[in-house]
Amino acid sequence: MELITAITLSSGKRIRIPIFPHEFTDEYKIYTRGGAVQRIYQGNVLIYSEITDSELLELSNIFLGTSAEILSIIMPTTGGHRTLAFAWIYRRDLGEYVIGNPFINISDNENSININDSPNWGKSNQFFYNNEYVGSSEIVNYFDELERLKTLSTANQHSIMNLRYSSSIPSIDYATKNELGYDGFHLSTSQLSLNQFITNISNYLDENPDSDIDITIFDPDTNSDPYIVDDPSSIGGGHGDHDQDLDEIDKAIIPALPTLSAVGSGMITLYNCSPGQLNALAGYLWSDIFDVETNFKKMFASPMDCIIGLGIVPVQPNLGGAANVKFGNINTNISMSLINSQYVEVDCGSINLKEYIGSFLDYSPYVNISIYLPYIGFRDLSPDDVMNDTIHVVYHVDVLTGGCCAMIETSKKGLIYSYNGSCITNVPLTAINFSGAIQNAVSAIGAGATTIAGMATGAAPLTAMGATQLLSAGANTALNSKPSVTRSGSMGGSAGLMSYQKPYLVINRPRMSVPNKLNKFIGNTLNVTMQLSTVKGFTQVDLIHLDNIPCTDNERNELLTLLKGGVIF
Amino acid sequence: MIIKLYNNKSDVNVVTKDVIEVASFNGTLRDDCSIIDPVIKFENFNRSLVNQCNYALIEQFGRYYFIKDILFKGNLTEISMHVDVLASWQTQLKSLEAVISRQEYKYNLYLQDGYFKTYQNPHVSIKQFPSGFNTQQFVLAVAGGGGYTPTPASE
Repeated sequence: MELITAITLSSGKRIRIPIFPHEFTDEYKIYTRGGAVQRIYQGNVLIYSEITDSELLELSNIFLGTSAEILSIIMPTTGGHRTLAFAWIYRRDLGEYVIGNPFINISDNENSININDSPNWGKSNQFFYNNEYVGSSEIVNYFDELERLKTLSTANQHSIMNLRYSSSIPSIDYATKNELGYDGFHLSTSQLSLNQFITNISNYLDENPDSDIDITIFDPDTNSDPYIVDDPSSIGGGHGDHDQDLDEIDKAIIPALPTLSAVGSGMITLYNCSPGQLNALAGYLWSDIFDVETNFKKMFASPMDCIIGLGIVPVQPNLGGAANVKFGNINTNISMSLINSQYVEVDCGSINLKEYIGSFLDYSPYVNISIYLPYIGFRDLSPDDVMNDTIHVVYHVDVLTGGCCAMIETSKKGLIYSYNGSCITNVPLTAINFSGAIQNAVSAIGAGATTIAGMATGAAPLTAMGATQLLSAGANTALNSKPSVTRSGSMGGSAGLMSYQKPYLVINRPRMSVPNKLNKFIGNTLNVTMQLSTVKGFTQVDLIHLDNIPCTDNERNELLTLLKGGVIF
Repeated sequence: MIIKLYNNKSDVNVVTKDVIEVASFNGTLRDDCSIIDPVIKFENFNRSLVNQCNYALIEQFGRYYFIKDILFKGNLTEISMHVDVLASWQTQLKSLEAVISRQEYKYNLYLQDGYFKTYQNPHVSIKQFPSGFNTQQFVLAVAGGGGYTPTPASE
């Protein structure tokens, strides 16, 4: 039993067909590799050219009777990712044959996508914007809409599209992404459909013996990782027992708020007050009630001594009723809300981060991810930690001291980053308070300046250094020439209050340049032990023993040189 | 010995060459001859074939050869050759296992690859988290006062 992952048509164009494992629960677990995208290849190299009617017919015969009769094809992008092309669709089982290149223009409006030319699309699609899924609903009449779209055909295709059709759930997914950052097309099928699929492929191979079809199947019992199946040399080295427990993650989760709070001690009382209440309190403090004749001085030299602090915090404290403010035994008769806990949790929500290219270029050191955390500033995240994962940010805030702790957890790895900051803006109540506040502000600026100076004069970032050592050319070249920029200084206190109040990610990803037919000339990385009779096309050998070849020594050396330089089988 | 001359359309590093037979000769080897770089003299060689012949098979040697040079000497035509090790030993070669570092059709894109190049202008995307800090509140801390004592209703 085999699963097709790529078809080379008679014309030489190569179509990758991803099929996802979640559709198969009985016998097979099936994966696709390399980012799970459907693309057109020429000689296994991604191309941006039109597929012809005859090629489509050839493809459709392969898919006849399966739930995958409808194909989607990536189109060339020349105008950024603001256009969406509808490609070629074929359903033999329904006798519907849709060929053409109608397209509709779309425009992006911040985080949403508006379909200008097709008002009916708004409620019947799933759209992605900047790799983010932005909406979903079922399409009402799939084929009618296709027919209507045909009328929008133009001569030039200049966008990429994604489409999904499922016979059980009629729906279409579109994705508008950048040239190569393509993900999101899921070819739905079933086990029954798969069997039909394989039958069709067998027939296709009988009729086209020269076709290059790359077929792979993975047995879930022995190959949980799709990349291990071709890679028997992936285990080895050292004296460890390769205990698989090493891969298990005992996740730390974001903890609950502390249970012991200063307000429970009885030694301190926290009030959440409005500006009006503060004005009333100020009037009370400067009234004649604190004359020398009163008993107040028995305990305090000044009523201000009772006030431990007054600050502005960016959170709503947890409240527990109201009470009059008291200074010692003096009741001010000014009622304020009582804060019942020193700590507050702020959940900033989650962001899903996907791979963009579907290769090593989606990870460090090629991708840089920094996160802006209010009251803390920018911090770097490792792409290896957060890629293909959901990032969740939660703050724990101490409203008494202003201390805050931003915790970042991912759905796969749990709590992996914690940063502290200060989110209180202290309101000076006396001259001493005020000079202290200024001193704190100056100290904060100094600390930020020191940080910036350190970044500016320090050595190249470690990640970039690593890239230099790992690679000799190519993707790292541009990376290493990029200067490191510090995006913020210290963001605590009033600086934080004046800054942006929501966390956000800044993701810097490489744009890959792939010459046409690159695979034909140089192949792609493999690092797998294989019998040479099983390979086709360009093959570069890393290691080989030239046993049982009755050649001369000179010939053996020449063979070795040629194999290491790359030969074509 | 039999020498077959071919027109080879394939590159040097192609294992199974795409060849068309141009001529076949049956003769006797009279001089010393290298098996790696043979130089063979032909009598009465049809020189109109010169432009078509760039590849050869010497069955007695069991090897294919690239034709490096052709020299005319009177009625003799001297052809210099070099062995094509890939084609000559392709059967034995294909039975071997090897660690393949790069391949045209099978690959793992999660391995680092210095051949990929990137544009100097990276793709920068910014994603905001759904929520953040959306209020500003005064907090007054006062010494004493009994703190907060939960009432039965608020417990």
